[in-house]
Amino acid sequence: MISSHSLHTFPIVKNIRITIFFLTFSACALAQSIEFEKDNFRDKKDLLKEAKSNIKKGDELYAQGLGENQTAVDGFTGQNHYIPSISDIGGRGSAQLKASLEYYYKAQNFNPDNAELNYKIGFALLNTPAGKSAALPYLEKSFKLKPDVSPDIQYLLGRGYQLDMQWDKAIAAYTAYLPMLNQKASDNRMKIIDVNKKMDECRVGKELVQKPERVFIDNLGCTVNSKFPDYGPLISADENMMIFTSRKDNSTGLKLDESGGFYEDLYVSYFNNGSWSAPVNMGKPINTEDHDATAGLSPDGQTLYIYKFSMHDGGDIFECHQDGANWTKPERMGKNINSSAHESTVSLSYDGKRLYFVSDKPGGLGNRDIYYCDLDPKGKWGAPINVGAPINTMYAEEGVFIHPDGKTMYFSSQGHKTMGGFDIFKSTLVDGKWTEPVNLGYPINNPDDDVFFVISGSGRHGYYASLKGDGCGEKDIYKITFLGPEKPFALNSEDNLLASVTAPIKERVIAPPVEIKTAALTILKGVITDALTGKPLEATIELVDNQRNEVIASFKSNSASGKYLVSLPAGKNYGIAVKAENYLFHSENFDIPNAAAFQEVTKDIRLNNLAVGTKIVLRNIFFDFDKSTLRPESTNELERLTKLLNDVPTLKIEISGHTDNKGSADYNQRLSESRAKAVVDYLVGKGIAADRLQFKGYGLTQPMAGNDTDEGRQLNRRTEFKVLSK
Amino acid sequence: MHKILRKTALFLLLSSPAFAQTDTVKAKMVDEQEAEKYYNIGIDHLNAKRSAEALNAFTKAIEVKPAFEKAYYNRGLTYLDMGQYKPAADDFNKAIEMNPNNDSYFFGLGQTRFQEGAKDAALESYNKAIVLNPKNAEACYYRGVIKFQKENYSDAAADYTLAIQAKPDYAYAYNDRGSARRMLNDLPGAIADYSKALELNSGLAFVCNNLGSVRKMNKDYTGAIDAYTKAISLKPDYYIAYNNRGIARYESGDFKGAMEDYTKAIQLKADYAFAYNNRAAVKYKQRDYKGAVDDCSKAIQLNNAYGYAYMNRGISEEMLREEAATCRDMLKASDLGVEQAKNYTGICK
Repeated sequence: MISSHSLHTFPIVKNIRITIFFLTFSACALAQSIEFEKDNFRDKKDLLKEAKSNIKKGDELYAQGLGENQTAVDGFTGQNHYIPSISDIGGRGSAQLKASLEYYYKAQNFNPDNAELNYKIGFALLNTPAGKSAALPYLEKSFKLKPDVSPDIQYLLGRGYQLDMQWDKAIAAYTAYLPMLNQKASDNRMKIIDVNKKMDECRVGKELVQKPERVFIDNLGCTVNSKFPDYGPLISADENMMIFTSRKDNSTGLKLDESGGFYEDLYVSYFNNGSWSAPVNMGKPINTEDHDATAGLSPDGQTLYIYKFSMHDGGDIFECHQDGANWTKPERMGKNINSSAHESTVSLSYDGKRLYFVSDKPGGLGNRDIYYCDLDPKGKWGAPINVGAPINTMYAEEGVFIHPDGKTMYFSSQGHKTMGGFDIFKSTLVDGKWTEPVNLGYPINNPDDDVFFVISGSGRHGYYASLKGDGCGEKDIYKITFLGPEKPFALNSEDNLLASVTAPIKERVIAPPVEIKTAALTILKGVITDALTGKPLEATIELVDNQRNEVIASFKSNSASGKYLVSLPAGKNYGIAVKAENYLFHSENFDIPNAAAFQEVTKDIRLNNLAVGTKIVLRNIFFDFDKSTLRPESTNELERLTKLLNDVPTLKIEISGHTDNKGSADYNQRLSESRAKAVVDYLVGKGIAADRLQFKGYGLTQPMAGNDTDEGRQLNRRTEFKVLSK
Repeated sequence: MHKILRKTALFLLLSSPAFAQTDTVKAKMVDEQEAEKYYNIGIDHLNAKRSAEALNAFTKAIEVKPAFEKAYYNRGLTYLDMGQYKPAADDFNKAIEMNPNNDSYFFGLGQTRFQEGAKDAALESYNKAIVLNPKNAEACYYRGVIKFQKENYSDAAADYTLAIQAKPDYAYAYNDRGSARRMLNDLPGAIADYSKALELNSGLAFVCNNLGSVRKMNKDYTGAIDAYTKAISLKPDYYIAYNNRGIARYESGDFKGAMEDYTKAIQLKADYAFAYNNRAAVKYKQRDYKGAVDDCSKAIQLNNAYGYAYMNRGISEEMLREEAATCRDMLKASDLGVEQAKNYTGICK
């Protein structure tokens, strides 16, 4: 993050506290700046002339960039009450500053020892997104040649050192800069706050770097990444699909924007057989000839949010859905999401009922904030609510990502304890409140902007974009593997504890407690097909909280592939009903205790057509122990059954009860029959004609599985229905 | 007479793994005492560990004098030396039948049953010996051993205390009581007992080792290393002490020293799976993940049910980016009952 502190004109004001510089850096002051004057280059007159011409051209661009930058900085500061980073002002002035470098470098080749030129190159680089890390040597040189080159040289040096993680030097430089600001403290209030914040950032950085997180950070490779900028990765919860933004040379329309790069498009890649496939441009209607960038993806990968920028609306979010093998046309989201301000990232909760998004609309805690909208009963997004403290700060928050475990939020912030620019933070929902955000630490975070981070359902992998030296060119997508705290080895020993017994006795190994880093989440996924033909089906998957008898969420499998993915955060007993028109519904039960670690369950479901003789097991019908009293958790399943009988009025069915082999055959037969009857009675009570319903108790005579394990016995205790006629 | 008998018995019990207990009688210098002559010859053979000859002599003594209870007793000891538990028990039972008031006979029967692994029967015999003679230090001691093995550590400690009361210089009893106290997590008590055992007999390497292990549990790694070093100096091939010292060095951050100790333990005992497993931990710390995997593999090769080695190999494989192998090993360790490994299987698909 680079802030522009002041407008600089040369020659420099000389009444600066040069003594400070001399005292602190007296050794450096021996070098002298070489001016672009003929006395210094007597035998290189032509080259000098060319160099001066380059400086002049550079200066024109520099002045334009600086002016635009300063106007934007002033505007931002007036509105937000803090000094912005270059990204906060949308890179205003960067293009001209970057363009000035072309001329400055030529002059620099001719005379590398001019303080002002080194300063200007350093300043231009600091204010060019891709050039920041290269600024420090020029700034150091400028200062060495002429400690009073500019009033803000210490500030820029501080920035350079901070970006280079030379924390102590950065703090020293900022400290040296403060007295000058304090001379006119009332005029410099924002700058003083800014410098103090940066010194705090350096202290945070120093602390975090001393205790690095155990992670692997890997470039996804040059199959996915290209020599063009690749960024903004979004992944499905099972990490099988990734959609990202790229400015590759096959972008839609093949046009270049004002920065000289290709327009942004969305690309998709799939994880097959252990590697990511070559990304494919998602084409129309997703991509247009304008900028199209990723904004969010639902955990099942079926709903995609796209960011599109236009000057009049500050940038809005569009939504589209996967319909079979195609995507629907992206539609601008409603007014509760989009405003005349800038809306960027979006994240959908695991149940699809809450949408988090980022907006810099007025009325927030400051600059960009995280908001959410809830889905109303009509399926519309309700009024936006600011997430508030402790998530939002007076600085910018960005890149919101709500984990499919339903209780962990990842986001980037310039506030909180960052080590510079945006850092990625994590907060957990406890008793309805977000905990104080925690910095994800180094090397995930760096002194520069770390933003747009997503994490897998397992919590094991994070994805983000970064500009590193080992990449394929420009920004690349990286995968972070979180290893968690170091896993302690179990050491084994033995002793001759008993004097008279020669055999040594092993020491009991008491394993030290370890933090379980995986998410408390079960991902249920698979393919839904027609049981007879094997054809993929578009089915509705209803997720029910059995304890509350509430439908938590409803999803659809993809009509072309039959694929579905449902996130089940730990701590509930879930009923899952899979329904499709003209098919008998299928039900599953998942009881996932709070303590359950991450698991991914693949369950392919075959739906049976409404054919005579078809049998369906009703997995979410529960009875009191050893009784035929229906438990309240059964209501949803029974309601589904009632609806099916109402929907197909000619349908006649047999309800049957089955038990395991515990207890006598007679007893089991009686119990199973009275349970089957209880279901029939329920249905009759709901208005289904009794002549459409039969009940039978099969006791232990029709096991589905062996009775020698708990699992087997559980499968055998069941209620079934059979289609008698339709 | 009893006193002499017990002293002899003690000597043999503690100096040989067969725990022979002998008795002597003065042979009368008359020919009618042929049985007693054979008997005394038998004792000479028994003391010289010539079991076959001793057996022959005692049998002859019994043939000549069928009511010779001590000959039965000593022949029982001879059979015990030879690992023939059935005839040994028969002989002790015969002696008991003839004289049910001799605690040594019950003790002998107890030893036989102890050695054949019939712990409850042994306990019964020791109980009888102690009832007959509450000062039978060995019977108290061995009853303590059985209770220790049954993981009844407080009762074991009480029996060792009885043994110590009967015989205040009983170093073994101090050692074992120290071990019982260690199991009861009374580490200061254990340290005091081991120290007392060493005071009584400074040449007991295993006591030094045990003392080291309790200090290690107390996180006194310097003290532990000192004790293990003493154990090793007393018994240079003491691979257990090398392995233990390796752990103490590892825990105190001396990875190089730990590496040397584990390697030495392996040199002394090539099939020592623990040392391979533990050396892997050092290699892991030194970031030699491949080396750590190799050592764990060797430990697993030596003991394919070694759950911890599977887990440790998984931990190392993770650093080599071998996720599939990591999962395989963590699941295997988990199957083998390593609770800790279950925490690491969440990433496995």
